[in-house]
Amino acid sequence: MMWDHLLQILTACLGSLGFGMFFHIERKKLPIAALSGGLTWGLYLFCGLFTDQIFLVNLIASFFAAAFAEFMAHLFKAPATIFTISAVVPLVPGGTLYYTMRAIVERREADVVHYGVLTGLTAGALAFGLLLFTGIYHFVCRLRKE
Amino acid sequence: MEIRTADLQNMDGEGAEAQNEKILTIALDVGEQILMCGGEVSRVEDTIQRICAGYGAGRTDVFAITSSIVVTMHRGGGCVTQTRRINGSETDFSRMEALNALSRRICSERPDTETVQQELKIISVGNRQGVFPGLSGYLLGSGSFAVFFGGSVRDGICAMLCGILIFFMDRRVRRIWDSRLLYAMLCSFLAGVCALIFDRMGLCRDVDKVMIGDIMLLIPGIALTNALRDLFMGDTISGLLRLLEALLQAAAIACGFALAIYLGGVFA
Repeated sequence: MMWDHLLQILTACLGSLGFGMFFHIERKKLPIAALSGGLTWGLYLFCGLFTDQIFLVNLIASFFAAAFAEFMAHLFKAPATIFTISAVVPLVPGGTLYYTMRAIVERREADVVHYGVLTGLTAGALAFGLLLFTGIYHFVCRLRKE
Repeated sequence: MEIRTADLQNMDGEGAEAQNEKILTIALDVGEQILMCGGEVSRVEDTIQRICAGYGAGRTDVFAITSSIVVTMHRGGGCVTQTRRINGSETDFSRMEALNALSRRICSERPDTETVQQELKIISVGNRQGVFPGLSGYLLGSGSFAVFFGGSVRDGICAMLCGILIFFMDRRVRRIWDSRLLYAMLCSFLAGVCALIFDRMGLCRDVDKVMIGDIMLLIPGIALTNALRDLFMGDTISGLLRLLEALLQAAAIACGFALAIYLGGVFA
Protein backbone atom coordinates (compact mmCIF):
# COMPACT_ATOMS: atom_id res chain seq x y z
CA MET A 1 0.00 0.00 0.00
CA MET A 2 2.64 2.45 1.14
CA TRP A 3 4.97 1.43 -1.67
CA ASP A 4 2.15 1.89 -4.17
CA HIS A 5 1.55 5.43 -3.01
CA LEU A 6 5.23 6.30 -3.17
CA LEU A 7 5.43 4.95 -6.70
CA GLN A 8 2.41 7.03 -7.69
CA ILE A 9 3.90 10.20 -6.23
CA LEU A 10 7.20 9.52 -7.97
CA THR A 11 5.55 8.90 -11.34
CA ALA A 12 3.36 11.97 -10.83
CA CYS A 13 6.58 13.98 -10.44
CA LEU A 14 8.07 12.48 -13.57
CA GLY A 15 4.83 12.92 -15.49
CA SER A 16 4.58 16.59 -14.53
CA LEU A 17 8.20 17.02 -15.53
CA GLY A 18 7.41 15.42 -18.88
CA PHE A 19 4.46 17.71 -19.41
CA GLY A 20 6.56 20.68 -18.42
CA MET A 21 8.93 19.80 -21.25
CA PHE A 22 5.96 19.04 -23.49
CA PHE A 23 4.74 22.62 -23.01
CA HIS A 24 8.21 24.15 -23.30
CA ILE A 25 8.62 25.42 -19.76
CA GLU A 26 11.97 27.08 -19.24
CA ARG A 27 14.63 24.68 -18.00
CA LYS A 28 15.29 26.25 -14.61
CA LYS A 29 11.59 26.02 -13.75
CA LEU A 30 11.27 22.34 -14.61
CA PRO A 31 12.16 21.08 -11.10
CA ILE A 32 9.33 23.22 -9.72
CA ALA A 33 6.94 21.69 -12.25
CA ALA A 34 7.95 18.20 -11.17
CA LEU A 35 7.67 19.08 -7.48
CA SER A 36 4.24 20.63 -7.90
CA GLY A 37 2.87 17.51 -9.60
CA GLY A 38 4.20 15.28 -6.83
CA LEU A 39 2.89 17.52 -4.05
CA THR A 40 -0.55 17.76 -5.63
CA TRP A 41 -0.82 14.01 -5.93
CA GLY A 42 0.55 13.53 -2.42
CA LEU A 43 -2.18 15.78 -1.07
CA TYR A 44 -4.76 13.92 -3.15
CA LEU A 45 -3.68 10.61 -1.62
CA PHE A 46 -3.57 12.12 1.86
CA CYS A 47 -7.12 13.47 1.56
CA GLY A 48 -8.17 10.11 0.17
CA LEU A 49 -7.37 8.59 3.56
CA PHE A 50 -10.16 10.56 5.21
CA THR A 51 -12.93 10.58 2.64
CA ASP A 52 -13.88 8.73 -0.53
CA GLN A 53 -15.72 11.66 -2.06
CA ILE A 54 -13.96 11.93 -5.42
CA PHE A 55 -15.25 15.44 -6.05
CA LEU A 56 -14.09 16.81 -2.73
CA VAL A 57 -10.65 15.21 -2.89
CA ASN A 58 -10.01 16.51 -6.40
CA LEU A 59 -11.30 19.92 -5.41
CA ILE A 60 -8.90 20.20 -2.50
CA ALA A 61 -5.96 18.96 -4.56
CA SER A 62 -6.57 21.36 -7.45
CA PHE A 63 -7.15 24.24 -5.04
CA PHE A 64 -3.77 23.50 -3.53
CA ALA A 65 -2.19 23.22 -6.99
CA ALA A 66 -3.49 26.67 -7.92
CA ALA A 67 -2.24 28.17 -4.65
CA PHE A 68 1.18 26.60 -5.04
CA ALA A 69 1.39 27.80 -8.64
CA GLU A 70 0.46 31.34 -7.68
CA PHE A 71 3.14 31.33 -4.99
CA MET A 72 5.77 30.07 -7.45
CA ALA A 73 4.63 32.63 -10.01
CA HIS A 74 5.38 35.34 -7.46
CA LEU A 75 8.81 33.88 -6.73
CA PHE A 76 9.75 33.63 -10.40
CA LYS A 77 7.78 36.66 -11.63
CA ALA A 78 6.14 34.58 -14.33
CA PRO A 79 2.52 33.96 -15.37
CA ALA A 80 0.86 31.53 -12.97
CA THR A 81 -0.65 29.38 -15.74
CA ILE A 82 2.79 27.94 -16.45
CA PHE A 83 2.94 26.34 -13.03
CA THR A 84 -0.77 25.59 -12.72
CA ILE A 85 -0.89 23.34 -15.76
CA SER A 86 1.99 21.08 -14.74
CA ALA A 87 0.70 20.95 -11.16
CA VAL A 88 -2.76 19.66 -12.10
CA VAL A 89 -1.66 17.18 -14.77
CA PRO A 90 -1.82 14.17 -12.42
CA LEU A 91 -5.47 15.02 -11.67
CA VAL A 92 -6.54 14.96 -15.34
CA PRO A 93 -8.97 12.03 -15.67
CA GLY A 94 -7.22 10.20 -18.53
CA GLY A 95 -7.74 6.78 -16.95
CA THR A 96 -11.48 7.07 -16.43
CA LEU A 97 -11.93 8.60 -19.89
CA TYR A 98 -10.27 5.52 -21.34
CA TYR A 99 -12.42 3.12 -19.32
CA THR A 100 -15.56 5.03 -20.37
CA MET A 101 -14.57 4.65 -23.99
CA ARG A 102 -13.70 0.99 -23.54
CA ALA A 103 -17.06 0.36 -21.87
CA ILE A 104 -18.85 2.05 -24.79
CA VAL A 105 -16.99 -0.12 -27.29
CA GLU A 106 -17.81 -3.27 -25.35
CA ARG A 107 -21.45 -2.24 -24.73
CA ARG A 108 -21.31 -2.34 -20.94
CA GLU A 109 -23.95 0.32 -20.23
CA ALA A 110 -23.60 0.31 -16.44
CA ASP A 111 -19.86 0.88 -16.70
CA VAL A 112 -20.34 3.65 -19.26
CA VAL A 113 -22.44 5.58 -16.77
CA HIS A 114 -20.14 4.76 -13.86
CA TYR A 115 -16.90 5.85 -15.54
CA GLY A 116 -18.53 8.66 -17.49
CA VAL A 117 -19.80 10.24 -14.29
CA LEU A 118 -16.40 9.78 -12.65
CA THR A 119 -14.68 11.51 -15.58
CA GLY A 120 -17.10 14.43 -15.50
CA LEU A 121 -16.89 14.79 -11.72
CA THR A 122 -13.10 14.76 -11.74
CA ALA A 123 -12.80 17.28 -14.57
CA GLY A 124 -15.42 19.51 -12.96
CA ALA A 125 -13.75 19.38 -9.54
CA LEU A 126 -10.39 20.15 -11.13
CA ALA A 127 -11.66 23.26 -12.89
CA PHE A 128 -13.75 24.34 -9.92
CA GLY A 129 -10.80 24.07 -7.53
CA LEU A 130 -8.66 26.27 -9.76
CA LEU A 131 -11.46 28.79 -10.13
CA LEU A 132 -12.21 28.88 -6.44
CA PHE A 133 -8.62 29.79 -5.70
CA THR A 134 -8.39 32.38 -8.47
CA GLY A 135 -11.63 33.97 -7.29
CA ILE A 136 -10.58 34.17 -3.66
CA TYR A 137 -7.07 35.32 -4.56
CA HIS A 138 -8.27 38.19 -6.74
CA PHE A 139 -10.78 39.20 -4.10
CA VAL A 140 -8.10 39.33 -1.40
CA CYS A 141 -5.76 41.30 -3.69
CA ARG A 142 -8.45 43.90 -4.35
CA LEU A 143 -9.34 44.05 -0.67
CA ARG A 144 -5.73 44.76 0.21
CA LYS A 145 -5.47 47.54 -2.35
CA GLU A 146 -8.50 49.38 -1.00
CA MET B 1 -6.15 60.93 -19.63
CA GLU B 2 -4.25 63.96 -20.90
CA ILE B 3 -2.97 63.90 -24.45
CA ARG B 4 0.74 64.43 -24.91
CA THR B 5 1.15 66.19 -28.25
CA ALA B 6 4.92 65.94 -28.09
CA ASP B 7 4.65 62.15 -28.16
CA LEU B 8 2.48 62.20 -31.20
CA GLN B 9 5.05 63.90 -33.36
CA ASN B 10 8.26 62.44 -32.01
CA MET B 11 8.74 59.56 -34.43
CA ASP B 12 10.11 60.97 -37.68
CA GLY B 13 7.43 63.59 -37.61
CA GLU B 14 4.81 61.07 -38.65
CA GLY B 15 1.17 61.94 -38.57
CA ALA B 16 -0.74 60.90 -35.50
CA GLU B 17 -2.95 58.64 -37.58
CA ALA B 18 -0.13 56.50 -38.99
CA GLN B 19 1.47 56.25 -35.60
CA ASN B 20 -1.75 55.13 -33.97
CA GLU B 21 -2.02 52.37 -36.54
CA LYS B 22 1.52 51.25 -35.81
CA ILE B 23 0.98 51.14 -32.08
CA LEU B 24 -2.22 49.19 -32.46
CA THR B 25 -0.49 46.77 -34.81
CA ILE B 26 2.22 45.85 -32.33
CA ALA B 27 -0.30 45.60 -29.50
CA LEU B 28 -2.26 43.15 -31.64
CA ASP B 29 0.90 41.27 -32.61
CA VAL B 30 1.70 40.67 -28.97
CA GLY B 31 -1.90 39.71 -28.20
CA GLU B 32 -2.07 37.37 -31.16
CA GLN B 33 1.09 35.56 -30.13
CA ILE B 34 -0.03 35.17 -26.53
CA LEU B 35 -3.32 33.69 -27.70
CA MET B 36 -1.50 31.34 -30.08
CA CYS B 37 0.86 29.96 -27.46
CA GLY B 38 -1.97 29.10 -25.09
CA GLY B 39 -2.73 32.21 -23.01
CA GLU B 40 -6.17 32.86 -21.56
CA VAL B 41 -8.46 35.34 -23.27
CA SER B 42 -8.52 37.61 -20.23
CA ARG B 43 -4.73 37.78 -20.28
CA VAL B 44 -4.74 38.77 -23.95
CA GLU B 45 -7.32 41.50 -23.42
CA ASP B 46 -5.46 42.80 -20.40
CA THR B 47 -2.10 42.85 -22.20
CA ILE B 48 -3.42 44.74 -25.23
CA GLN B 49 -5.11 47.25 -22.97
CA ARG B 50 -1.92 47.82 -21.01
CA ILE B 51 0.26 48.25 -24.09
CA CYS B 52 -2.11 50.80 -25.61
CA ALA B 53 -2.34 52.66 -22.32
CA GLY B 54 1.46 52.53 -22.08
CA TYR B 55 1.68 54.42 -25.37
CA GLY B 56 -0.76 57.01 -24.11
CA ALA B 57 -4.12 55.80 -25.34
CA GLY B 58 -7.05 57.40 -23.57
CA ARG B 59 -9.46 54.56 -24.02
CA THR B 60 -9.07 51.09 -25.45
CA ASP B 61 -11.85 48.61 -26.11
CA VAL B 62 -10.68 45.04 -26.63
CA PHE B 63 -12.78 42.05 -27.45
CA ALA B 64 -11.00 38.75 -27.87
CA ILE B 65 -12.19 35.22 -28.44
CA THR B 66 -9.99 32.23 -29.20
CA SER B 67 -10.15 32.81 -32.96
CA SER B 68 -10.30 36.60 -33.27
CA ILE B 69 -9.30 39.89 -31.66
CA VAL B 70 -11.00 43.26 -32.18
CA VAL B 71 -9.50 46.45 -30.76
CA THR B 72 -10.49 50.09 -30.95
CA MET B 73 -8.01 52.57 -29.53
CA HIS B 74 -8.62 56.25 -28.82
CA ARG B 75 -5.42 58.21 -28.77
CA GLY B 76 -4.61 61.85 -29.31
CA GLY B 77 -8.00 62.83 -30.64
CA GLY B 78 -7.89 60.07 -33.27
CA CYS B 79 -9.45 56.65 -33.10
CA VAL B 80 -8.35 53.46 -34.87
CA THR B 81 -9.77 49.96 -35.11
CA GLN B 82 -8.10 46.76 -36.21
CA THR B 83 -9.18 43.16 -36.17
CA ARG B 84 -7.13 40.02 -36.31
CA ARG B 85 -8.09 36.47 -37.20
CA ILE B 86 -6.22 33.89 -35.13
CA ASN B 87 -5.45 30.54 -36.67
CA GLY B 88 -4.16 27.52 -34.84
CA SER B 89 -2.41 27.33 -31.54
CA GLU B 90 0.29 25.32 -29.88
CA THR B 91 0.94 25.61 -26.17
CA ASP B 92 4.40 27.03 -25.60
CA PHE B 93 5.04 28.46 -22.17
CA SER B 94 8.56 29.74 -22.75
CA ARG B 95 7.23 31.90 -25.56
CA MET B 96 4.36 33.09 -23.43
CA GLU B 97 6.79 34.11 -20.73
CA ALA B 98 8.97 35.99 -23.20
CA LEU B 99 5.90 37.81 -24.49
CA ASN B 100 4.83 38.62 -20.97
CA ALA B 101 8.24 40.09 -20.22
CA LEU B 102 8.16 42.06 -23.46
CA SER B 103 4.76 43.56 -22.72
CA ARG B 104 5.91 44.58 -19.26
CA ARG B 105 8.90 46.30 -20.83
CA ILE B 106 6.75 48.04 -23.40
CA CYS B 107 4.64 49.49 -20.62
CA SER B 108 7.55 50.69 -18.54
CA GLU B 109 10.08 51.82 -21.18
CA ARG B 110 7.87 52.57 -24.20
CA PRO B 111 10.40 51.57 -26.89
CA ASP B 112 9.58 52.65 -30.45
CA THR B 113 7.52 50.35 -32.62
CA GLU B 114 10.40 49.11 -34.80
CA THR B 115 12.31 47.79 -31.78
CA VAL B 116 9.25 45.96 -30.54
CA GLN B 117 8.61 44.46 -33.94
CA GLN B 118 12.16 43.13 -34.10
CA GLU B 119 11.92 41.58 -30.65
CA LEU B 120 8.61 39.99 -31.55
CA LYS B 121 10.23 38.42 -34.57
CA ILE B 122 12.99 36.99 -32.41
CA ILE B 123 10.47 35.56 -29.96
CA SER B 124 8.30 33.96 -32.64
CA VAL B 125 11.19 32.39 -34.53
CA GLY B 126 13.86 31.73 -31.94
CA ASN B 127 14.03 29.14 -29.23
CA ARG B 128 12.79 26.24 -31.33
CA GLN B 129 13.15 23.11 -29.30
CA GLY B 130 15.56 20.48 -30.58
CA VAL B 131 14.46 16.89 -31.13
CA PHE B 132 15.88 15.55 -27.91
CA PRO B 133 14.24 17.79 -25.27
CA GLY B 134 10.96 17.64 -27.15
CA LEU B 135 11.04 13.88 -27.41
CA SER B 136 12.01 13.36 -23.79
CA GLY B 137 8.90 15.31 -22.76
CA TYR B 138 6.72 12.88 -24.69
CA LEU B 139 8.61 9.88 -23.35
CA LEU B 140 8.41 10.99 -19.74
CA GLY B 141 4.77 12.02 -20.03
CA SER B 142 3.48 8.81 -21.59
CA GLY B 143 5.76 6.40 -19.72
CA SER B 144 5.24 7.75 -16.25
CA PHE B 145 1.49 8.08 -16.59
CA ALA B 146 1.19 4.49 -17.80
CA VAL B 147 2.89 3.45 -14.55
CA PHE B 148 1.02 6.11 -12.56
CA PHE B 149 -2.36 4.62 -13.51
CA GLY B 150 -1.26 1.19 -12.31
CA GLY B 151 0.79 -0.26 -15.13
CA SER B 152 4.05 -2.18 -14.78
CA VAL B 153 7.40 -0.85 -15.91
CA ARG B 154 7.06 -2.87 -19.09
CA ASP B 155 3.75 -1.14 -19.84
CA GLY B 156 5.51 2.17 -19.28
CA ILE B 157 8.18 1.31 -21.82
CA CYS B 158 5.55 0.26 -24.37
CA ALA B 159 3.71 3.55 -23.79
CA MET B 160 6.99 5.35 -24.38
CA LEU B 161 7.43 3.59 -27.71
CA CYS B 162 3.93 4.70 -28.75
CA GLY B 163 4.86 8.15 -27.42
CA ILE B 164 7.73 8.30 -29.94
CA LEU B 165 5.20 7.69 -32.70
CA ILE B 166 2.98 10.52 -31.41
CA PHE B 167 6.00 12.80 -31.17
CA PHE B 168 6.92 12.33 -34.81
CA MET B 169 3.29 12.71 -35.85
CA ASP B 170 3.11 16.01 -33.96
CA ARG B 171 6.32 17.19 -35.51
CA ARG B 172 5.83 16.18 -39.11
CA VAL B 173 2.18 15.49 -39.87
CA ARG B 174 0.31 17.97 -37.67
CA ARG B 175 1.22 21.07 -39.68
CA ILE B 176 0.11 19.68 -43.02
CA TRP B 177 -3.10 18.15 -41.67
CA ASP B 178 -6.05 20.52 -41.97
CA SER B 179 -8.65 19.14 -39.60
CA ARG B 180 -7.51 19.05 -36.00
CA LEU B 181 -10.22 16.59 -35.07
CA LEU B 182 -9.29 14.12 -37.77
CA TYR B 183 -5.66 14.52 -36.79
CA ALA B 184 -6.43 13.69 -33.15
CA MET B 185 -8.39 10.66 -34.31
CA LEU B 186 -5.61 9.47 -36.60
CA CYS B 187 -3.00 9.94 -33.89
CA SER B 188 -4.93 8.01 -31.27
CA PHE B 189 -5.84 5.31 -33.78
CA LEU B 190 -2.18 4.76 -34.68
CA ALA B 191 -1.14 4.80 -31.03
CA GLY B 192 -3.91 2.31 -30.25
CA VAL B 193 -2.85 -0.03 -33.07
CA CYS B 194 0.74 0.26 -31.90
CA ALA B 195 -0.26 -0.66 -28.34
CA LEU B 196 -2.30 -3.63 -29.55
CA ILE B 197 0.64 -4.88 -31.61
CA PHE B 198 2.86 -4.69 -28.53
CA ASP B 199 0.20 -6.60 -26.64
CA ARG B 200 0.06 -9.33 -29.29
CA MET B 201 3.84 -9.61 -29.21
CA GLY B 202 3.61 -10.07 -25.46
CA LEU B 203 5.68 -7.01 -24.66
CA CYS B 204 3.25 -5.41 -22.23
CA ARG B 205 1.27 -6.82 -19.34
CA ASP B 206 -1.82 -4.61 -19.44
CA VAL B 207 -2.62 -2.97 -22.75
CA ASP B 208 -5.18 -0.65 -21.10
CA LYS B 209 -2.43 1.09 -19.14
CA VAL B 210 -0.31 1.56 -22.25
CA MET B 211 -3.21 3.29 -23.99
CA ILE B 212 -3.99 5.44 -20.94
CA GLY B 213 -0.39 6.65 -20.89
CA ASP B 214 -0.72 7.75 -24.50
CA ILE B 215 -4.18 9.24 -23.98
CA MET B 216 -2.65 11.58 -21.42
CA LEU B 217 -0.44 13.03 -24.18
CA LEU B 218 -3.37 13.66 -26.48
CA ILE B 219 -6.11 14.64 -24.04
CA PRO B 220 -7.12 18.32 -24.21
CA GLY B 221 -6.99 18.73 -20.44
CA ILE B 222 -5.50 22.20 -20.64
CA ALA B 223 -8.06 23.34 -23.21
CA LEU B 224 -10.85 22.01 -21.01
CA THR B 225 -9.50 23.71 -17.91
CA ASN B 226 -9.03 26.99 -19.77
CA ALA B 227 -12.53 26.66 -21.20
CA LEU B 228 -14.17 26.28 -17.81
CA ARG B 229 -12.06 29.09 -16.43
CA ASP B 230 -13.12 31.42 -19.25
CA LEU B 231 -16.73 30.45 -18.70
CA PHE B 232 -16.65 31.18 -15.00
CA MET B 233 -14.81 34.45 -15.49
CA GLY B 234 -17.58 35.74 -17.74
CA ASP B 235 -15.88 35.24 -21.13
CA THR B 236 -18.84 33.14 -22.15
CA ILE B 237 -18.27 32.96 -25.90
CA SER B 238 -14.60 31.98 -25.66
CA GLY B 239 -15.46 29.53 -22.92
CA LEU B 240 -18.13 27.84 -25.00
CA LEU B 241 -15.90 27.76 -28.08
CA ARG B 242 -13.05 26.20 -26.16
CA LEU B 243 -15.34 23.81 -24.30
CA LEU B 244 -16.89 22.52 -27.51
CA GLU B 245 -13.46 22.22 -29.10
CA ALA B 246 -12.10 20.28 -26.12
CA LEU B 247 -15.10 17.95 -25.90
CA LEU B 248 -14.98 17.22 -29.62
CA GLN B 249 -11.28 16.53 -29.37
CA ALA B 250 -11.80 14.17 -26.44
CA ALA B 251 -14.51 12.41 -28.46
CA ALA B 252 -12.19 12.16 -31.48
CA ILE B 253 -9.45 10.63 -29.34
CA ALA B 254 -11.89 8.14 -27.86
CA CYS B 255 -13.10 7.27 -31.38
CA GLY B 256 -9.55 6.69 -32.58
CA PHE B 257 -8.74 4.31 -29.75
CA ALA B 258 -12.15 2.66 -30.04
CA LEU B 259 -11.52 2.02 -33.74
CA ALA B 260 -8.18 0.41 -32.92
CA ILE B 261 -9.81 -1.80 -30.28
CA TYR B 262 -12.59 -2.81 -32.70
CA LEU B 263 -10.01 -3.77 -35.30
CA GLY B 264 -8.05 -5.64 -32.66
CA GLY B 265 -11.24 -7.57 -31.86
CA VAL B 266 -11.86 -8.38 -35.53
CA PHE B 267 -8.36 -9.70 -36.14
CA ALA B 268 -8.09 -11.53 -32.84
